Amino acid sequence: MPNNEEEFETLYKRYYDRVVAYIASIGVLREDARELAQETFIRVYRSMEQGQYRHEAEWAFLQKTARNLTFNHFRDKSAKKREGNLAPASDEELGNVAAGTPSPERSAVLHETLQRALAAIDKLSENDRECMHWHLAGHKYREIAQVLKISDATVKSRIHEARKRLKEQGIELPWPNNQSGTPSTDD
Amino acid sequence: MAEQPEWDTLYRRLIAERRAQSGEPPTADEVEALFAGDLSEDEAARVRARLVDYPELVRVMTQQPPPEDVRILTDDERREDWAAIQKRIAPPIPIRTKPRYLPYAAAAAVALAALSAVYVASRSSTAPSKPPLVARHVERRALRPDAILRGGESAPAVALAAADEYVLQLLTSNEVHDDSYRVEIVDMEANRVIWTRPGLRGGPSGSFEISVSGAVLRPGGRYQIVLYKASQRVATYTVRV
Repeated sequence: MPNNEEEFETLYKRYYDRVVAYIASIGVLREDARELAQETFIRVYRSMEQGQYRHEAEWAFLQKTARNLTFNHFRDKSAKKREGNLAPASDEELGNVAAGTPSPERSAVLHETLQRALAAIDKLSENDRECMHWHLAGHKYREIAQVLKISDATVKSRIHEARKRLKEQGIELPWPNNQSGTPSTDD
Repeated sequence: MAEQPEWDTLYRRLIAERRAQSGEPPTADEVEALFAGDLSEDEAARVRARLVDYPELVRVMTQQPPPEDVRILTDDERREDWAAIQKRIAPPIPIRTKPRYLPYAAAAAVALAALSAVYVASRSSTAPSKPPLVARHVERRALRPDAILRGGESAPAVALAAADEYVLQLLTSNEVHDDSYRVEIVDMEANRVIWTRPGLRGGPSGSFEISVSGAVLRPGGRYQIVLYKASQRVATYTVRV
């Protein structure tokens, strides 16, 4: 298969760094990103062997392959955590390791406040409630907008409105600051 | 007012709790269909409800690629990764099934075997063993039984990377002392047994090790590995490749 091999090598030289950078930019550790990028190129090679490779859309093909592998990488990690009972972490497990870990007494107070906030969020309008749930889970406005198929400005406005209503009920929290990028989930 | 780091910890814990309760997140195909607007309103709502606590999965789908000329690897790293890929895609050594000149071939084979034996004997005492010419990717995994994980719910499949060979350690909570165990692998799509291994003896920690060819567990397949003692089913292990 000399043609495939030549094309494959050209593809590697042209796109390998970009694939690694793409996977790493999603939040995968650099070494894991290199492994996933290798797997991406092996899949592409196999597709070439089987005549399923789309020569006319080489980056689109690479990106989709890399994206699906990365998706499954995260999905499998979360499954392992659930299966291994690694989540949820208890206060004892977290101990004083994390800088932001409150003491058990403090944690109980914060937990109660959060439960009040969640109960108040449940009473918001459906649109505002959904935006707040995505916001609390750590999504960026742009991501929420894409999932809910609304504009970034609408997301921002709904979250602003929701916070305002909660504040009127005396619930004012340091809400997640998701817009400058959340910590890597690939830990 | 509480400090932000304390709240961030609390939010993470909340998400972890919700993940543990909600089970498996949606698949890549489901999320892709959601973003493409290919789902009905009800289906989209169901996928969103299972996706909300997985920001990293949403990020995978929404992250824009870097520019084409981005360079983040050193030349050495690039060479190293190319070599790793080449190892994995190397074609297998062809096997001749019908030798045309049997007497000559047989004589040559005997001579070669004798030479090889002398060579191996002379090397084995002094040189460390070398890797095989064609690298085989071996996937080694320890698997927990489905029932222990899910308490009767449908078992989540453990994902195995595509490999030439799988060395799987089947964990059990039983103590095993005899060799009356056997393992069957069921192709869940075809719903039929595709591999079996009788006379298995468990290890001291109650686990069984099986070695399965990549020709049996194929990429894209979903399989159930069933451990039996005599005719009694002891445990199942669901995997996908």
